[in-house]
Amino acid sequence: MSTESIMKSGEVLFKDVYKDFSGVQVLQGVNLSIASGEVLALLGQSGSGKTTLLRCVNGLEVIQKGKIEVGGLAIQDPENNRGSLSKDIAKIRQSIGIVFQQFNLFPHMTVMENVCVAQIKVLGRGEEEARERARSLLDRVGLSEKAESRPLQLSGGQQQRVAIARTLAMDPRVLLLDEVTSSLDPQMTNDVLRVISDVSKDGITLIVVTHEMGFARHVAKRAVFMHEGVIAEDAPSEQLFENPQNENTKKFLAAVLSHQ
Amino acid sequence: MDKMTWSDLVEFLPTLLHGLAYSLGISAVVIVLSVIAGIFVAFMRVSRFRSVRGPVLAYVEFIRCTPALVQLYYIFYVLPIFGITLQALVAGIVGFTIIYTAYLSEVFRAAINSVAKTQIEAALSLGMSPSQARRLVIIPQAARVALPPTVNYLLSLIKDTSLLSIITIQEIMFRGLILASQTFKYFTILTEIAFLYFCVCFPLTILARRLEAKFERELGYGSGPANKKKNFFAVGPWGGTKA
Repeated sequence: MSTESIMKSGEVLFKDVYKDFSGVQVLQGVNLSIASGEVLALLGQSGSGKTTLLRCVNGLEVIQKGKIEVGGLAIQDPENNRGSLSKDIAKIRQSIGIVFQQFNLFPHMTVMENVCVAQIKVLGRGEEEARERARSLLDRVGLSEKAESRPLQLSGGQQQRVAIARTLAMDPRVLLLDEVTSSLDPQMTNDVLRVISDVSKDGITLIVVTHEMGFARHVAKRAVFMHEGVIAEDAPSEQLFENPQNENTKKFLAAVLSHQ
Repeated sequence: MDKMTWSDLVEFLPTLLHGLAYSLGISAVVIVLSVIAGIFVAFMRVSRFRSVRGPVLAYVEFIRCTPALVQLYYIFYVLPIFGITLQALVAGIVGFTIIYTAYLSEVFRAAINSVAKTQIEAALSLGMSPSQARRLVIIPQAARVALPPTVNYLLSLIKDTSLLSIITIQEIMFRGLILASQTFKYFTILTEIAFLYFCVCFPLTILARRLEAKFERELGYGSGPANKKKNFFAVGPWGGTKA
């Protein structure tokens, strides 16, 4: 097994993507192209389809129409591929990290084992190499002293930072962040955002679904606003926040910013 | 009623212990086979394909809804009519394995379903194959959920092996009844049998309870700082600190 990524770049492409959940249209023709290394904030109300769009990138959701490519590889292409998901999906997923709102650490493993298991079993790294990498990543997220704890002994914010370390250990080309601070209190949120802000300088393509507008603006150069399953506005984040063009974007920002 | 004396108890003990060893040996073989088969059956029960789920469900429900005694009689006395004759010991082991595979598969199915779907998503997202996700993430967590009820099933299996006396297997009950019919000391012998069963089974109930508490702590089902849930009756209405 080689640890070499099969992806040439971290470019992400959505071509006319449609997705429905048993009759309910969630994505209604999304076209979006994200350059390798770009940091993109994905904004929108609950139900606008942003989380679904994110989960389509690594095939956790299956699309009905259109095409999704990452690094030049077709992840989903239902019209030309009967099973919709690429046959190499497991291999491709190695290079696409995702961090979930609910952390989803493995509760039966220690923090160290959580960060090591996929390095060893999926990438085929040696145990010592994996532990070394895990130690340096846990150090980076400020949790080196928690290596032997179990996830449930940690606070939510600590668990989320472990989840980030677990994902980074795979050396992803693309990192998907799905409302990673939505179940955390403000102090923990800051700890996690600091880590992400640091990671955003790594040259990994970052797609960030978030309700933290200040953070989105600070960390992402580009922001996309989704409304009812399509992209309503796509602009440099400074511009989208200062001078939104779309009526729904304006309403959304007014509502969210008055709240914060 | 016969009078219970130490000398009788001691005299019958070797025969009964020999029988008990038989019971335990059979239980050990059956539990190992049933756990292995039960895991396969459980994964078939949660299969995406109805053609896999259907027949397995029929088997499980058929076994669960007919008495073990009838099933054992069937295997030992009815199957020979159709030309399938099994030695008593083989019939007993095969019979109980079929029965306990069905019971345990239900335990394992529930345990597999108790592992959150998000855990599988997390595993697949790290690039694990479905079989790696099963081996590294689902089974270790499901096993912790399933182990205490599995120990409880082992307990009832050990007791159920007394049914094997009716198909002439020389386990403790069989030997005890022969002794009793020769000596007429039913009171002494049956009391001694009950006591021996209790000595084996009671520690298992304690083991099951300990395992349950340990795994609850580890996986956070009900305890741990993440979601602390106190048992009202253990803690008392004034919120004592001892749980």
